[in-house]
Amino acid sequence: MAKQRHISRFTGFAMALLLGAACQPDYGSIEVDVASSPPVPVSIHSRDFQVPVGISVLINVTPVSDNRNDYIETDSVELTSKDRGVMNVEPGPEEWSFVLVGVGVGSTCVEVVINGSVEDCISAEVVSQS
Amino acid sequence: MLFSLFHRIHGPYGASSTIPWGVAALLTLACSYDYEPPPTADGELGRGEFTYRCSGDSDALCPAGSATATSFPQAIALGGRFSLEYAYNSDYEGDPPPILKSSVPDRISSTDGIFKALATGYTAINGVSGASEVVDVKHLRVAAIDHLTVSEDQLKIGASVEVEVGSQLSLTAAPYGAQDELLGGDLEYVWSTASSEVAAVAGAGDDDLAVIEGVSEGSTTVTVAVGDLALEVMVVVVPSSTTATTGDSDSDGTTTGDTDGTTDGTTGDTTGDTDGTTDGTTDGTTDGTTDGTTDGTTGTTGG
Repeated sequence: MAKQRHISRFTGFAMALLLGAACQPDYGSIEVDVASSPPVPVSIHSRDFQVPVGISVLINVTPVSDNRNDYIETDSVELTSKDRGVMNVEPGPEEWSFVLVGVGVGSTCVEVVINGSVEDCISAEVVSQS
Repeated sequence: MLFSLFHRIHGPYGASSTIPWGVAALLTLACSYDYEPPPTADGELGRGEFTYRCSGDSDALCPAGSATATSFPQAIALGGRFSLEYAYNSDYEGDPPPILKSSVPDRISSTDGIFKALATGYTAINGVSGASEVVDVKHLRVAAIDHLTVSEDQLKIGASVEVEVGSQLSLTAAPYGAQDELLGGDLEYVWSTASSEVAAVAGAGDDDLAVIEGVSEGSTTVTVAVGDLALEVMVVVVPSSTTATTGDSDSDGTTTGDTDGTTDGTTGDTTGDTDGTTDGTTDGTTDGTTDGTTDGTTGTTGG
């Protein structure tokens, strides 16, 4: 009797977990909009960032879910550079906005951290000013 | 009369009434003062304005003794020092002011609020809030100095300039970029003279403004240098005109007629001591006290 009760509790817990997971968005990619106009051209796409050294550019990032559950405003989105000596990423003035700063010529990647877990790493390159 | 009127209206102890009078006078003064706000540049994130400030006496963008620039610089001279201020637009008024930081300290460094341009090209200055958010951005262009100019009374001078023996001449140097744009930034200047027996640089000579003093008749070269770049100006020292007291010393060339030959025999004997001096002095001064300084008067330092 006691064993049956234990199994039913476990099943209920597992079901709740599964249902909860089913309602969560599943990370697919990010959409990126450039929100400032630097004096020299930058190249910003969802899979790669290219910024000249010394340049700061504001971007707005929207995470895109692969399932039917979209990310909502309360979801935390962070971008973190793997090498701040090449490209630095600072939080922007709004939610999900960031300022990419070209610090030194080179390549790195920028991690996309959503709700505390690393979901992606975007290729990032800093080039010299021509 | 005014006092008695005042006394009649306000009584003998009109102290309280003098305050509004004083305020009114101050307001009148304030309203008549022609205030020109310092030049600003919009932040690129649209939240406020950046104001350029000169951090020393040798910034060509600021008049002597003022930290307020005449214009927001198109570019900063390589090695130049400057400071910036930021003010939010009315939409964000009340937010704590951001700290202005160079995005790349190797390109524009910052110490105690003074920036120094270290690398040519654009570098972003980020306004960072207390929450470490970048709230605004301004890119500044740093350019190498392409050429210097020297001006006197805001008129660019040509290859030579004249000064009288015992007189002083104020020369101002200014740095320009390759696009002939006036460059901002406090710089270290070095003024020197090839012959201090002819013309001397008064004071330290490490400012963009130099005072040149005519010592003895002749010509010499005065050089102003910023880093490896230098500009030479020929300084012609002419005899002093102070002894040629013909009454029209402000004219340029009109004193020749009454001095060449006339003073020797006529006025010389009235004083008894001018025979020797007037000949020498007036001949020299009238040759071209202004000719030499007006070679290139078309430009101004305002660039």
